[in-house]
Amino acid sequence: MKEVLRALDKWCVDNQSSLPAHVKLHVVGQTALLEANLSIEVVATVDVDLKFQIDYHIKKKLEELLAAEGKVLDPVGHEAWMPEETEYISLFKGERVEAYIAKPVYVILSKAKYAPYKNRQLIIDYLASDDLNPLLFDLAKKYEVELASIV
Amino acid sequence: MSKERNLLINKAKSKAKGLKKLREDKRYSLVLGRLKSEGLIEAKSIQAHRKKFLLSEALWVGENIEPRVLELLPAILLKKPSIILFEELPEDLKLVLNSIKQGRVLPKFRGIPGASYRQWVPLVGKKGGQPAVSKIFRFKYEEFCLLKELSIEMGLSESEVVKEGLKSLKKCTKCLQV
Repeated sequence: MKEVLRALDKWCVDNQSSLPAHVKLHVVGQTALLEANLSIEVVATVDVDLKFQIDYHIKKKLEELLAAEGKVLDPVGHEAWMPEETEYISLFKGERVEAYIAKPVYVILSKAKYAPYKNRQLIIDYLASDDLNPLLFDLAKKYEVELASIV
Repeated sequence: MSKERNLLINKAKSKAKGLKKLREDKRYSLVLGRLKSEGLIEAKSIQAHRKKFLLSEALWVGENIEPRVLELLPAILLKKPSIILFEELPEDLKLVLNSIKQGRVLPKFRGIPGASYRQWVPLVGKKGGQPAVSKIFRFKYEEFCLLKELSIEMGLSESEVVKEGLKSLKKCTKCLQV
């Protein structure tokens, strides 16, 4: 992912006259978990979810760069629900491009709320691991997610 | 931490041990390793390889450990079946594949929504390629004769005549809009 971001940043610098001065990418979903280097097993399909919409031309270039790595940008990744208090960690900072990944606890909550069947193993592993952030329980209560029924 | 939370964590730890054992089954690394080498999944602990796997092995992994395998299976069977050692298709999978081919409403496949597995079809194998969709039309006798006549005149099959007709019609509607 960082190689893609570096290449995107270089392209943005080379084409700066026709593009927004800065672009911020917020990565959510499995890619965010993979990049967080958790101790648990994370299996991801090759789609990348970005939480917020970005400039059309930058998005097209990003899709091209991702395709070269065998990945795709999820066209509806921005529709993925994330809790309003989601915090992000810096993944990459270039001249024009900054990229962030959602903290794992928020990604796990999102999956527990909207795709518990597909992510049951992931949620169990997370709860059992040293990566567990106890904030998950408060978030689950707030957003009415029954973790016990998933486990 | 509350008693309730501790109970949940302990339950998760117990289940996680079971999951770890399941992942030691050779089917897991066999199926995911091939999917990784095909560029369909990412998993840091899995070693990519080029061995084929049985359909039943993929179904077992998908149902017991990693549902993403089930999500990818229909697309793999349609676009890259060579990575699978064939066995008889189960009925629900036959229904899924036929629904994709016939452009019908997609049923859930072992808990996976239709949209979730359908999205991978253009992305597996030849990128952008979609499976052909079968359609049946009823023609009046005169229309049927016209189709046969055009097929002979143009040196095309009847299917090709219909396809060329659709493309021409599309061009006409675009011209009218301009």
